[in-house]
Formats: sequence, C-alpha cells, structure tokens
Amino acid sequence: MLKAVRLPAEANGFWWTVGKFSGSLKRHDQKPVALFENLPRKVSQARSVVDDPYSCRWSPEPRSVDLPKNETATLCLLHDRLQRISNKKFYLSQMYAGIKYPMFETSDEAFSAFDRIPEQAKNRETLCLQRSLLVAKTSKSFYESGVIFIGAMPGNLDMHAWIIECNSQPDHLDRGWINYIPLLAIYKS
Amino acid sequence: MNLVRNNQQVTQYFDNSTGALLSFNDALSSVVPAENDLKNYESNGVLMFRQPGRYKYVAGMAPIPPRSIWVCDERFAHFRETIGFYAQCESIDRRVFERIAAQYLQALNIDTVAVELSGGLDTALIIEVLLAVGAKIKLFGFESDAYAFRTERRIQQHYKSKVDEFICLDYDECSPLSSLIDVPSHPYPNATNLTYARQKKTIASMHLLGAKILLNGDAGDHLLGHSFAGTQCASIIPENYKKWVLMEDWVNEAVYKPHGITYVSAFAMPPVARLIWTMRRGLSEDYMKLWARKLFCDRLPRELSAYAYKGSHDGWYAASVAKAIDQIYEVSKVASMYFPCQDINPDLLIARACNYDALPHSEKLNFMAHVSYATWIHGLARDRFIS
Repeated sequence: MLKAVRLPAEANGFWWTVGKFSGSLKRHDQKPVALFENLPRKVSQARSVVDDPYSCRWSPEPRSVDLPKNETATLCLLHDRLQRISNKKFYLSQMYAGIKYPMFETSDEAFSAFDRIPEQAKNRETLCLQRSLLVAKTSKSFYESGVIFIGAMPGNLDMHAWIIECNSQPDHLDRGWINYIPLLAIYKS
Repeated sequence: MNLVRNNQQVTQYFDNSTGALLSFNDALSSVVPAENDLKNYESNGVLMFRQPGRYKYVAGMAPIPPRSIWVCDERFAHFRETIGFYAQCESIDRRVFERIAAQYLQALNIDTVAVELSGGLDTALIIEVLLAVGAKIKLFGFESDAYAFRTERRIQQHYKSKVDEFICLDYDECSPLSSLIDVPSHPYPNATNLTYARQKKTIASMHLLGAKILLNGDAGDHLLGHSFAGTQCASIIPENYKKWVLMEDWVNEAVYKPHGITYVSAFAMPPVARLIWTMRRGLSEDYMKLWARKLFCDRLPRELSAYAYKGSHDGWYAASVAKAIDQIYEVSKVASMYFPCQDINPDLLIARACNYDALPHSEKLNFMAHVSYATWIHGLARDRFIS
C-alpha cells in the first residue's frame, strides 16, 4: 500500500494543501494547524532535496533499458489502466499503484522505459501523475526509498507530480519540478 | 508582390498600402488601427515574429525584423531568408571564442555595459566571457523570496560576490500588467507591453549604475540549443536560429532609446552569434544546452554546469492578473471606445480576469493577447487621438 502525508505550505498570502483522497489543491485563509502531520524519515529526507535542488543527483542521460516487446505491451496496459482511472479518482489511482508489479530495478530505468509508451511521449506534460504512479508500481527501488511529491504553483494553480529517490530525481527529462511547492508526499510505508 | 529587405540594425515596418519600409517613428505617426486588427493579431500569435512563417498585417503594417528578407502580398508578409550572417571558415575553440567575443563586447565601451542576470545559463555565459578578460561589469536582476525562486537566488548570490556593482529589485514591485496605462505608444501590438512596469524599473536602475547598454540573454535557447545538424557546408546562418533572426525590438525603440539606453541580446550581436554558430555547426538539438554547460564547466558555477533546471514565471504572471484589475479596466475602456468589440469590452475582460485561474491554457493566452491589444490602442489613443 502507498501512504500519503500532507505538506501544508504558505505562498501568496494563503496556506495551500493537497487533499490525500481527492488530490485537489485547497486554499486556506488561516494556517491549517490540524493538517500538519509528522513526516516519516524517508519523506523528510526527500523533502530536503526538493528544498535544495542543487543537492540532488541528476543525470541528463537516460538509462538504457532492454525491454522485451511483451513487457513493453504490459507497461502500456498498466499505463492505460492508470489513465482510465484518471486524476479524478485520485485515491483509487494510489491504491492501484500500491499493488506491486515489479519490472525495473531502479526508478530511472522505469522512467527511461516510459519513453516507449506512446501516450507518455505525446502528453508528457499532462500525464505526470500517471508516470509517477507507474514508477511506484513497477520500480523495486521506489519501494525502498522513493517518494512521489504532488506540488503546485500557487500563482496559476498549475500542479505537477515528480519523484525523489535516494537524493536523486530519476526522471531525466523533468527539468521543471523545481517550480512547484511540494504539498503532498506519497510513499511506500 | 513586393520583396522587402531590411538590412538595418533595427526593425522597420512594411506599409502595405504604400509598399514602403518605414522607420519606427514614421510607422508610429502613420499607424491607423483597423477593425480586423485584433483578429489578425490573434492569428499571428501573441509572441510575434519569433519564427519563420507568414503573418497578417495589423494596422496595414508588418514589422520586418533586422537582417531579413520578406515577400509581401495582399494578405500576408512571408518570411523568406536571413541576410548577412556567415560562419567563420576556421574552427573555433573556447579560448578563441572568449577572446573575440570579449574584444567585441569591450569595443562597446565596457564601462557603460550592464548585464541582466536572470539566474539561467545564457546570461551567466555572457558574464563569464566578460569576467574572463577581467572586465568590471555591472549586474542587474530581479529577486524574490518565493519558494520557486530558490535556484535563481543561488546563482545571483554566486555572481553578486564576483562583481562590484549589482542592483537587485523585488519581482513583486514590478509585476506584469501593473503599469499598462503608462505604456508608450508603439506602432504594432506586442505582448511585451504587458511587462512595462519591469522595463521602467530597469531604466531607473541603469541610470543608477551609469550604464548605457544592457545585455540580456534572449535567443540563447535557440542559438545554444537548436539543431544545427546538416549545416556543415552552409555558410549562411540557418533558418532554425529563429528568435534573434526575427526579433522585433519595439521595446528598445519605444522604451529604452528615449532614455539613452540600448537593451539588446548579447546573442543577437553579429560577431557573437556568428562565433557560436560556427562552434555549433553540424551539432544536433541540445535543448538542455549541455554542450555549452560542458564547454564552460570550469568557469560556470556547479549549479549551472551540472544541472539544467528550467525556471518558469507562469505563476508570477497569473498572480499579477488579480492585482491589475483597475489597469485592465482603464485600458480596455479607452480601447473599446475606438474599436468596440466583445474581446476587449471592459466588463467582459474584467469578468475573464476574475476567473483567470479557471481558464484553459489557450484561453489564458487569448486573454493576454486581448489585454496587450487594448494596451496598444490605449497608448495610441492617449498620445495621439486624445491630445
């Protein structure tokens, strides 16, 4: 199972959170004291990397992954299911991603392999949540140390999902995650 | 059909009714907005003339960017080619590049040059080239305590310690759309008029620094990152170096020049562009600009040589809409007196501004286009029609 923990943050004169079950961005006039939770060590470590992006290990080169044809088809099928569940059924997406289907040793291998999913190649910008949840489902290293962050740009309410794992950001194509304030962390307990 | 050439250093304006090329001031005095201008402006795209293509006339005119050839017919101005840019014959290494580029930049009278520090690679490279020859440079930039600004802040801190003079202004003091009613009149609508507040602050800072030339890093993405594969033998700068080739510079003409300041991209300067193009000849697309990060890795801070993060100001733009309701209402009220239409109707525009967060991305772009169009009409009306 995947677990989620809220990370309330202040920006533009308001407090912001992302709902654990709805995944939607919420604005609060007052500090939402009741929503502050203790952070597991794994989350607080990953959060410190998000706060200081230059402490993050990052490689511009994709890992080369040898994926047989039938496994590519499986990957596309898993991705298709996540897409059908959609962002609107956020909690169901988390539950589906929490059922392990290990295909990759590490999350950077998983991200590199996702380039072969036609929907991901076409709509990278809008399918960041599906991409991150698919890593959670298929990467062995994510189970150990990965954390998915859901963040927002409070100015325009734009949202984004990305992963931090072992002090690294394993999605070699994602250069824009630094622009989002992390508001929800999802991890394997 | 008219073949229009512009080999000038600045943009000229093609007047479709007379078939003549006009200077900025001539175009400004003869511009007569027409009813279908807004539709034409929208269909041209908000960020005008930054890539090859065909463009509709607005107010019967098309801006013809420097060093370019255009074919014009009744309906469109078509980009044909660039002129006057040639690669060096010999290959160039980094030392040669630094020496030649620095010589050129110093010839501008280096004591009067400031560099706009954005926090990204492009302006950092300009600074490094100048520092490499021991130039004392002045830096100018914007800062914020916003979370998303934490990477830019680190770069600024790095360069602050390397220069004698540095002015950093607060982003929030000059948010976009906050000074629409003051925008100087210009012959052609352009979305850069939305950031006039920032330009005003920049001018004041240039006076404080005693600077006459402000170099920015515009077009660095294109020159340092676009594909130059297949250009091994070609000598003329290829079409895929888009933005600079087609840069429209109303901001420099209308805003900076009257204050005795030149605002220009260091990458748009012919020798610099030629040198970099020569170095990149035959290379494929490199949108993270890893080529340049590697080449200058011993000069650049690690934050820029080992990482390729991409900052975004989208949130900053969006947050500024709500603060600019009065300005938007004022410019659209005046503009709609001259050209009544739904898109710039002040009440409807304000309703869209209040609902801006919920608009789809394409509608947000349209909204900005309509505000910048209304700002253009407002400037003309204020300086000409009303007086």
